Amino acid sequence: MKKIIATILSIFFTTSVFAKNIEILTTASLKGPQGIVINTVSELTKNSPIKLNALQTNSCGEAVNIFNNTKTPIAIIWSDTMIKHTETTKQNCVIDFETAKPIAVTFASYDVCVSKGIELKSNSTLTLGNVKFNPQISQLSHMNSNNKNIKFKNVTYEGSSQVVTALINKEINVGITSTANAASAIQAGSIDCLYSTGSTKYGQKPLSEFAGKNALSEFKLGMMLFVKNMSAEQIIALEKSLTNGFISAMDQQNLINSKVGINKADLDKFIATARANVQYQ
Amino acid sequence: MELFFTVSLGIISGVFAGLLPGIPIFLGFILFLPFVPVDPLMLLIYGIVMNIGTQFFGSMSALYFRVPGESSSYPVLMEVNNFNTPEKLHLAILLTTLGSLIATLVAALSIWLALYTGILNQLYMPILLKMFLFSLLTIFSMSANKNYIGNFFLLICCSIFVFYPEIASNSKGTLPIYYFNNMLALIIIFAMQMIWNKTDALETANTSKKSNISIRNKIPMMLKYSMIGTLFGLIPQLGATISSYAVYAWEKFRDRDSFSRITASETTNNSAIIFSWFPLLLFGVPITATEILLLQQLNTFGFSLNFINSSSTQLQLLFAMIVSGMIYYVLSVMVNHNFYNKLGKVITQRWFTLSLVLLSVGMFYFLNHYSFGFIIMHIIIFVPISWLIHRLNLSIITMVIGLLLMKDILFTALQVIQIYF
Repeated sequence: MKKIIATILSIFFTTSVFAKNIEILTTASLKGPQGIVINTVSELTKNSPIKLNALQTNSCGEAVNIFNNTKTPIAIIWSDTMIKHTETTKQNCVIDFETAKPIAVTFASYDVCVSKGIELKSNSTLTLGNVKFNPQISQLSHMNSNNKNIKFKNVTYEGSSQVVTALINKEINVGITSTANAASAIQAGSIDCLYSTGSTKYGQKPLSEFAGKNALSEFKLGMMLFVKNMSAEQIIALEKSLTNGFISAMDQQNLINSKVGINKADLDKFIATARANVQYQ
Repeated sequence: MELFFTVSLGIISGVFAGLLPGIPIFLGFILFLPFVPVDPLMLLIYGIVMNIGTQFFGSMSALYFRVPGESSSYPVLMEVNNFNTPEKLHLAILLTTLGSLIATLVAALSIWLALYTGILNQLYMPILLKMFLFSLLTIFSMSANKNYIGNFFLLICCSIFVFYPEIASNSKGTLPIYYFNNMLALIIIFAMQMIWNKTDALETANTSKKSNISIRNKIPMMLKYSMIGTLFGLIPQLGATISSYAVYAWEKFRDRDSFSRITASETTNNSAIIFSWFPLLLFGVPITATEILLLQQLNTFGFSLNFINSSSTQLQLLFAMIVSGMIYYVLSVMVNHNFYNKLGKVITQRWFTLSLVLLSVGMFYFLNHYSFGFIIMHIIIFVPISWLIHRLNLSIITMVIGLLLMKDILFTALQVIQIYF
């Protein structure tokens, strides 16, 4: 009954009459790389039989709670930092892998960027904008072990795009932000990104050259799209709509190592990385 | 089609929130919100169009029913006894509606020009100013009803709801983890306020008749106060109300007649209410309860305000503001007194209020993935809270800030501490 009424209402109140609208949850803020992935996926599925619409929740625990308990088709972008978040937030941020079906994966590299006019001068003290979902304590101590003896003071932001805005506004001196979120500001010349954990597209150097060799210098945020309560035909339709364009769309957004069609080995490796990330605080 | 539907919905909501006595602006906004197409521009247009309407019809309510539709219309109420003939009443309606229309045009064009030319694009909101605005907003909301202690405790209670999952997860299993939906909580609280605040009888004014008194001489004054109103619009939450009282007092101080006083106050508050959207559109910082609600809705669906940079979007926004202003003007002037009386009687009926409450909660249920039990749980918790807010004369604006903005406020405060200390 609810489905019938909801369908009738959706005919009246949404633009897409014939597509099946499915909510896609995020375990982090939509203002970071997960938001870019979700918006790109929504765009790619816009004209397909399965249309994914973004939905922000207040915490990873709430997103996972909705995903695990919903009886209707639903999707989520689950990142490989969520086992760590289960430890830190004491909420369950881990989805039920038995019922969830992985569809696609992509990774975000992180850049160390500076406000216009700021230089990484030796023996100085600088504010460092970081995202609350990143491993903050580990990242701060890692950055503080830099070869220029610069002391960083952590400033917490909700998502990568807020870090970029803060850099543009010169609220902070330095920021750690995903390359995907920083790209447009770099191109506009509003900020400079000096080091990266995986991108050289804008002339960034490897972060290890500044902060030393460490696993965090190679840190890339893994994001996997999972769905549940969908029929085999619906999953095929979704994969089909993503096959044509997901990898190139992610590449355009500076997201790397993207793939559609996840096998067991991919999933196991992803979960293993998520387990390994627990070591970071 | 979507634009037409959204503007129509905004007008219905604006007329409703403006005419219904004692109902704050954002209640009208939230009750019709589930019907708005999930599109950032449509959500924004709905919010602005609705806000404009409340100012037109807030004064209508005061003039016809002698009950102000919203707080910025009290100056009209103070003067209403001076409009004791049908001709005077008609002139008062013509003046306030024309003033509101001119204010709408001036404020809408100012916003559009600023966005279109990009003249202010290099400006940014320093974090200290943002913190200052948030503090002002919180202080103003807590000072509503002059119940400072009660509102402070309400703010604390809201924070407990907002942070309940974190509190429960750290309670070592003594509290169950439960995720409240803030928007559903607000829909229930606001909707119930309509029932608790119900006005049983409307005292009606004289029937209006056409007047031959010229209003042309008042137009320069309307233009002047429209521009002044834009400045008042930058005051968090209370811009429209403060502007209305300030210019009313100024006109009274200058010993101007009743018509000048209400024209000045209604023109200024309309301009202020539209221009109050400016900080949100330019810097993404909400300064009124309606804007907080809108921003929450945009965030829920992952929308940013970047869409406003497109010139076609800016034109659609301008179009919606001007067209809705004109429609409100025509509705206010052309529709006769009997219609207002009938409409007023219908929307203040208990069955109408209850139907709207059920429709809003029902829409939320059908358009979201939440279970029936989840809705019932919220009703069980938030209906008594709504009653307490009514009984203890607390400010529901404080509730909006507490539930929707508290995380942002605390996060900004944390950033200020991390940067400067």
